[in-house]
Amino acid sequence: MVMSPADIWVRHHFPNLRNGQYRITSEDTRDYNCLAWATGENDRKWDPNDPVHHWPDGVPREQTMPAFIAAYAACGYVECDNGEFEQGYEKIAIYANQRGPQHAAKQLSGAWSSKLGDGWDIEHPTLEGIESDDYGKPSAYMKRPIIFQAGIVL
Amino acid sequence: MPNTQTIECEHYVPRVWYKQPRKRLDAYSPCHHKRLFVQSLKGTAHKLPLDPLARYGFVKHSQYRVSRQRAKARESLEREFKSLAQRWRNETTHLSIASEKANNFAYQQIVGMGEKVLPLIFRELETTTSDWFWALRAIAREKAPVIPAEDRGRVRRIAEIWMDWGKQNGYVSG
Repeated sequence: MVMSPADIWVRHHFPNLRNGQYRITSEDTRDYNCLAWATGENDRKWDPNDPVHHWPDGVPREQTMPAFIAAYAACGYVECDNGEFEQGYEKIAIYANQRGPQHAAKQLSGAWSSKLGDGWDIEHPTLEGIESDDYGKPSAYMKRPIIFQAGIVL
Repeated sequence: MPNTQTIECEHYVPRVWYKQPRKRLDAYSPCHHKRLFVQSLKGTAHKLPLDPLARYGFVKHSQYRVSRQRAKARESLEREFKSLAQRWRNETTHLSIASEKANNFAYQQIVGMGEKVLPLIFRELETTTSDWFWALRAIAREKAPVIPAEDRGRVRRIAEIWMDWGKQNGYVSG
């Protein structure tokens, strides 16, 4: 089987995805990162540590779980217990390792969507798929109500 | 041949020699060039004052040697930069947080190269919006441009701001 450069890259950095249980859903781009993508933004990067990148006003610029929770709370999310699908809500999972939060994934009707660094967006059925030393494990979950406008889920 | 001897050399040699293959040039050591110099001038050089020699196609051997050393240093720096940048990309493109990327050893070596690496970073920034902003800020320090709040996170815009800064400060040609 001939793999695309994207597949090679994904499987190299995320060993749990070597079973092929994922789908690439975008081109690779550096215009946004996972922290922005989790809230639905795809035109800027969020970053607590780099002042050239966006971070919600009033939230401490630090790579800690309380700061990340406060940042997403500024977008309407509240903490919840798990990543199980709940009708009427969109959820995010914040991954952390010993150095602090590293990644955020958002839920899409059961499956999860992640922007992988400077690479591609992927859809992965389980949160374990992208667990790694660099990303750590899902350590916090948050949810917010899905807003309906003119019949379109935003 | 010790470098200091070459650098301190005040003899003039024909500029065309520097177009010769490297192997030939190396033969023009301070031990030999005086003889070659005399031969090539056919006895006229001693009638010319030192400074105007450049107008007749001659340069100081020492100047050449220094400039060649600088060229070699530039080539070496560029090779090292490209190698480190590639290693950094290979090891960190899957990461999302700039400080995590900057924590990479190859990236730290690039930052450690200091101001001389800025033209190479700007050349990279012309073709990619990789996270060079951290390195640029670390090297430029208080001279770094301020990114307006509305542009924060918008990497193409930030790259434009840095490129303008690079041009204003002579790190980017054109």
